[in-house]
Formats: sequence, structure tokens, C-alpha cells
Amino acid sequence: MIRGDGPRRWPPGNLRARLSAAFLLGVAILAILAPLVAGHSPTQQNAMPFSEMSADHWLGTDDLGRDVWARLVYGARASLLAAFVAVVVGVGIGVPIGLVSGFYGGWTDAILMRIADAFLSFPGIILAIAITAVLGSGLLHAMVAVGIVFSPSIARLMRGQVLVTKERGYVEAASTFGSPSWWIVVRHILPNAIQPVVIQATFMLGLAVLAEASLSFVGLGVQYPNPSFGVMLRSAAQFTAIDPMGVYPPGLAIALLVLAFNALGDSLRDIL
Amino acid sequence: MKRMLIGRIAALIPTVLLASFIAFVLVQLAPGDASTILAGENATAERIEEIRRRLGFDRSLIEQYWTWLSHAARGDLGASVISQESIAAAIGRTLPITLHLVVGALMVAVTLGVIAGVASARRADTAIDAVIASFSSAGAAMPSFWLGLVLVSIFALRLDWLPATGFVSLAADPASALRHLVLPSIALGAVGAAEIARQLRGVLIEILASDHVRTLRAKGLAERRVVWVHALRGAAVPLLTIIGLQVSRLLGATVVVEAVFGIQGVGTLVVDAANNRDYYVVQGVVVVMAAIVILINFAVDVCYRISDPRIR
Repeated sequence: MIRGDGPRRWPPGNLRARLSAAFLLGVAILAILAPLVAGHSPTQQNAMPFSEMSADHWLGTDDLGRDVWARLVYGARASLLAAFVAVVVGVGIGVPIGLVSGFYGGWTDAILMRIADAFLSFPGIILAIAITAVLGSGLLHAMVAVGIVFSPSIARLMRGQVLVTKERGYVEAASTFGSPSWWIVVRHILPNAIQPVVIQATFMLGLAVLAEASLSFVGLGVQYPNPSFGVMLRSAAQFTAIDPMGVYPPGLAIALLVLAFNALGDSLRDIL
Repeated sequence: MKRMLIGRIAALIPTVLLASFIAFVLVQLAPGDASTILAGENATAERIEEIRRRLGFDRSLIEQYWTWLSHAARGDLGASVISQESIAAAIGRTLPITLHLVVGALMVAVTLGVIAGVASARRADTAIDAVIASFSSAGAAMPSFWLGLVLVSIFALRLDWLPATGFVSLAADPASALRHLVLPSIALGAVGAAEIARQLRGVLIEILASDHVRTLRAKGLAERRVVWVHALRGAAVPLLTIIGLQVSRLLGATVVVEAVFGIQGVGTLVVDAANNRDYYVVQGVVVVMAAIVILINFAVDVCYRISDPRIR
């Protein structure tokens, strides 16, 4: 598809970027200030189960009488942190592999890209489940697993960029002047090839929020009683017959967060 | 044609070998192997060593891989350490259930996606286009399993139109099977529909602006025929590629959606195994899933090459 060929959406480009960035910043501030803004403990019973919304409990309470707002705020903490860990791991593995593969070419490139292709032939979530099973369940392990799943596509993207950048005049000039190859890669190629990776990483933050929710929902991510959006959905899911509204706060939180990351990624692509 | 096929199959071999090697090595990295589980608690070091030798764990990694691969190629993926059930049998029992879901979801995704994609391409940059775009952005951001929960709470629990959980095989009772499939298929297919609509829109706008379509319009062909027959035919190959990618995503997403609807498919099998650290079952599922994805990519690739001789 041609770049910038997307449908006109409301709000338009720049405003959309600002709105989504502002929303994400707001969520991040809430998450950081969780102990101050939560009002209640996220893990202790502080009212009757399934209490209605009230001044004391803005979003009511869950099946164990825990404050839903408090769990949402602490859950945002876990979910955002998890997403960052996954993307940092993915970029940390993918970028060096892509740099080496694209810069050296030849057999190194052929072998590394074959391995990346092999990784890409696993459905992402299933590979993440398998890696989590090996590492042992828990949020950190689950997110390292998701990062590993992300890394081959980052590596492929990075490699493609390096191949283009490598041919540029300033890179040739640097190598004519005898700069060592590591210096050329770090000083000249990386900064000029990283942009698409930054955009991709923004989309991956959204994907990672979804992955955290999925893995925690099936019991492999965040462990009880700590909240995350996935854990909240897991317990709300068991009580949909009694409290059908319980699935909305965490579900909407996930959807909005992912929407914001996607919108930010789209806008970055248009702006950069 | 024959040469192309042979070439494609040859290109497949390293991917298959590497993917299976990754699945094999993954389990080798797990702390403790089956011998410690089989030897039971309080086993002596000698006893564990004996079991390790019997199971071949003392041989080199490549040797072990080769043995495992040759068994796997014959359909022997070992047995579950916990239930002792043959892994191939467990996958054979659960995979058809998951495939029901995947096919149902694909039907939802393609139907909704094509209708929405065509509508927004024909009315590009109008209000309808913007509404569809907003829906597809929202669709792409929603977790499938959450959509499943919402659908259950509305259509099963409140309105009582459709069953909330469970699975009935199409062969056993087609009517009941379809009723059970509706909600999970919509939950799984919605994200795919959004993706298909978005990509198809881009492809169709380009085709509708082409000389070929202008000629068709000039000779007085009805617009409906131009779009639904000629333009869509031109979009068939990109559409096929998007659908191929969706299958891989669906095989993953079904894992969590099965949990919502209490469906005993491959997803439930692999999640239970992962929670119980039943590594060989996890490995078996991972290998079979990768094989399915590789086969589908292969089929899409071959279709692509047949339809467009320039890339042979």
C-alpha cells in the first residue's frame, strides 16, 4: 500500500498523535502515582463483593470485594511495565541481529535470516506460551518470552534498513577514510536506519499489552493476587453470570491502551 | 510449474528443519528433564543417571534431535509425562476442534472484511469510509477473548439466544454445532475482519483507479459488476496473502478464546501443559502449529506465483 494512503480519520493526523500521546502519558502518570491515586489496596478486601459504583468505590468492587479502580490503576502499572519489558527485549535482541545481518551480508546474513524465518513460522502467542513454560510462569518470564517472539520481525526490519543505508554516500565515505566497521555501524548506519524500528516498537507496545492480557488470562503471566488487566479479566470472566459489567473496566482499558499505541504508531509513520 | 514447485519445496526444507530444531532445543533448555520426573521423589543420582541413559539423554544434542525428528516425522511425538497419553493422539483429538473455530473465524473475517473493504474503497474519503475506518481501528485494538466475554454476557447470559460455552462437532449435530460456533467465531474473526478491510481498501482503491477498470466502465459495464467481479478478481492474490497471515494469527488467538468458551481444543491442551510444565506436550503442539503455518504459507506462495508469472 502507498504510504499515507490511509482513510481520513477523526481526529486528523497531528491532533490524533497529540491526543493518543496525552492519553498514554495520563495512564503512565496514574500508573506511577498508583499508591496516591488508588485510594484502596488493590489486593485486600475493602467492601462487600460486587458492590455497586459509589463515591468510595468509583468502579465498584470485584468478586473478592477488592476495589476495581485501585486494581485498574495498579493493573496499568503491571501492564505498561510488561509492555516495555517485552519491547526492550525484542529491540535488544532484534536490532543487533539485524545490524550484523545487513552489514556483513553473505553467509552470516543467510543463516541469521533463515533462523528469523523459522521463528516467524510459529504463531506468536503459542511460541510465547512455550517459552514461558520453559522459563516458568510469572510476568517477567512471560514478557521476556513475548520479547523473544518480537525479535525476529525487528531483526528483519532492521536488516532491510541497513541494506538501504549501507549504500549511502556518507557510509562509503566513512569506510574510505578507514573508520573501523563497528564505528560505521554505530555512528552512521544505526541512527539513520532506526526510525522504522521506533515506529514498529510503538505498535509492538500495543501488541505487548494484548499479549500480557492473553498470557495472564490463561494463568501464565501475572500471578494472583497482584492485578494486571489480564488477571482482572480472568477473575471477571468467572463471574459474568453474577456481574456482567465486571469485564468492561479491564477490557476497555486494554482496548484504549492498544488503540492509543496504534494511533501513535500511525501518526509517527506519517510524521517521520 | 513443476520446476517452480520443486524449487519452493526445496526452499521449505531449511525452514522446517530450523523450526523443528528450535522447538526441540526449547524443551532441552527447560530446568530438569523427564528423567527427574520419571525417577520420582528421593531418587538417587545413579537411578536418575540410569533413566537418562535409557531415554538417550546422555547422547549429543544433534543425535537426540535426529532421533526425535525421525520419530516426529512418523507421527510419534512421545507421550505426556503427566497423563501418559500419546501426544499425537492428544493433538489428533483436539486439533479438529480448533480447526472448526479457525474456519468459522475465517468465514466471519472474510465476509465482514470484504464487505467493509469494498464499501470503504468505493466511497473512499467519505463519511462511510471514516466510520468503517474507526470501526476497524477499534476492532484491531480489542482483545479477541474480551470480545468473546462481552458477546457471552450479552447474547448468551442476558438474551439467551446462543449457548455460552462448549463445543459440538459438526458431524454429530450440525445445528447445535453452528449455534455453539457463532460467538467464538465472531470473537476470533473480528480482528481479522478489521485487518482484511483495511488492506483490501488500499488494494481496491488502486485497482479502481487503473486503466483496466476505466476501460470496463467506458464500455458501459455496471459499476456493481466492475467492483465485485473485476476489481475483486484483481485483488484476489493480495487478499489471499492477508488471509494466509490471518490463519497464523488465528491459530494463536484461539488459545485464549478457547479458554473463554470452555472449548477443549489445542489451545486448552497447550495452556494446561504449560501450566503443568508438561514440556513434551507443549513441544508437540508448537511443532504441529509451525507445520500448519509453514504449509499455509507454502500454499499461498504457490498460488501467488501461479497467478503472477512475473515473480516465478
